[in-house]
Amino acid sequence: MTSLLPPDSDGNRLSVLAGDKSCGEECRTFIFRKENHTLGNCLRTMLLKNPQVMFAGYTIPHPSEEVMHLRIQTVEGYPAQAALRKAFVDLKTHASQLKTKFISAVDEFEKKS
Amino acid sequence: MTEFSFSSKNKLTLKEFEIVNTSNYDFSGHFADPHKQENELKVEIVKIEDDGMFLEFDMIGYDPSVANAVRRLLLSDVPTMAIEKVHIYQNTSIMQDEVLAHRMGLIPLKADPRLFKWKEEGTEDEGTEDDTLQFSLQVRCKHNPDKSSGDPYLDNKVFTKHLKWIPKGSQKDKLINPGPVEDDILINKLRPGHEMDMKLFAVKGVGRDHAKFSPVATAFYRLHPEIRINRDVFDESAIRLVKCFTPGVMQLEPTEDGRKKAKVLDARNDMCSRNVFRHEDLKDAVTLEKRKDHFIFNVESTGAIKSTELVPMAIDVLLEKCELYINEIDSQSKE
Repeated sequence: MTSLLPPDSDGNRLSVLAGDKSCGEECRTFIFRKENHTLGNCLRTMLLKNPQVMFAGYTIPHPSEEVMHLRIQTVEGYPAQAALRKAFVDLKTHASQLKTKFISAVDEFEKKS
Repeated sequence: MTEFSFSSKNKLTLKEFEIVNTSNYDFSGHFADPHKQENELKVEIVKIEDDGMFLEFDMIGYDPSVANAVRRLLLSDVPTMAIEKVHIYQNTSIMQDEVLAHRMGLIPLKADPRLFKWKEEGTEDEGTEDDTLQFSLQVRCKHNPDKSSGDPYLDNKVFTKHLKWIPKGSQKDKLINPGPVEDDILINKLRPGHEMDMKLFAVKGVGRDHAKFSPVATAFYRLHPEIRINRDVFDESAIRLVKCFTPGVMQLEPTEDGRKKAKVLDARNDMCSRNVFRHEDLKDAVTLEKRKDHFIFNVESTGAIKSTELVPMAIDVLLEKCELYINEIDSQSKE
């Protein structure tokens, strides 16, 4: 099955903004290429559900550029990157559950009619 | 004096000049629902019409960011096939080449994008059988030799039924009729002597690139309205109150002493016009609210893929993105 995402040959889609050495592993700004509110708002929601995340917010610096910045600040000892990875995993689980519920709702509806 | 009630935490209120309590309690440290119990989240299908092309369903208990993500993915990230390159050999019609080519791109095609590969940038327009669909449009307008019929011209209106599919390679075995969704879409008008001869190449794309690639006519959601009657309203005032809302939302019910009382039948179809605030005496009789976690979705497909398949495809795009970034994080942390 071919990928649903269009091909992208410009290297990594995720990078880190430089200059966060002073606060260690606990605060990072992640730069996402070719992403917008669709992913940003979902990630932010998942991050805020994590009790070890102190701050989570996203912004799109300029609407003409398809770039999204995500800032994460966590408690001591918990790296921001780990929080980000957990947010992706949680979002994946949440979305899979939604898909399953939707498909079974369609099956139920078709059985009824 | 405003009343505060914990039961209305997940409802926003429509007042006369403002809408209150719209924000979500999403700041770190607020753990009213760290991870909503799975059984509190529901998806219910309400209506499937038009051979699966029109869908109305409810998402209950979900966060607005996820509902909005589904809507945005449906509009701009689910792929479709659409005509991208147009080779015009002859066009003596009134419509300019570029306008005509633009219109060809907007024609919805029945081809299933999942059967095709993405076309690489920089390759030639002709493409391969895996990534391109080729059509040809050849129409010439003539005078109608049959003087008795009403039409003075033959082929003066060019419709999508004039588009002919040119199968490449093994496409004729794999695809059945990947042409336009409707046969009667008007493309151009001609007069005798005008001729059109073009080759059209359709590829896979996403709505983000160009709106012609969007698989939905539109996809939108609204919040489920709620109407609470604060004090009973009778007779003439009740008739006026019922008229304030969309038909079918409120009705009059007879009481024991022969009067008529206004009652809420089903708030779901209310269009939230807040018409009730135009009546000074009825303003305080009702409270208009919306449930913040109950999304009523409407998805209408353009015809390539059924709406009931589009929603899982949209969620698949989100899952693929998550997978992509998890892999990137893992490979970057190994360095």
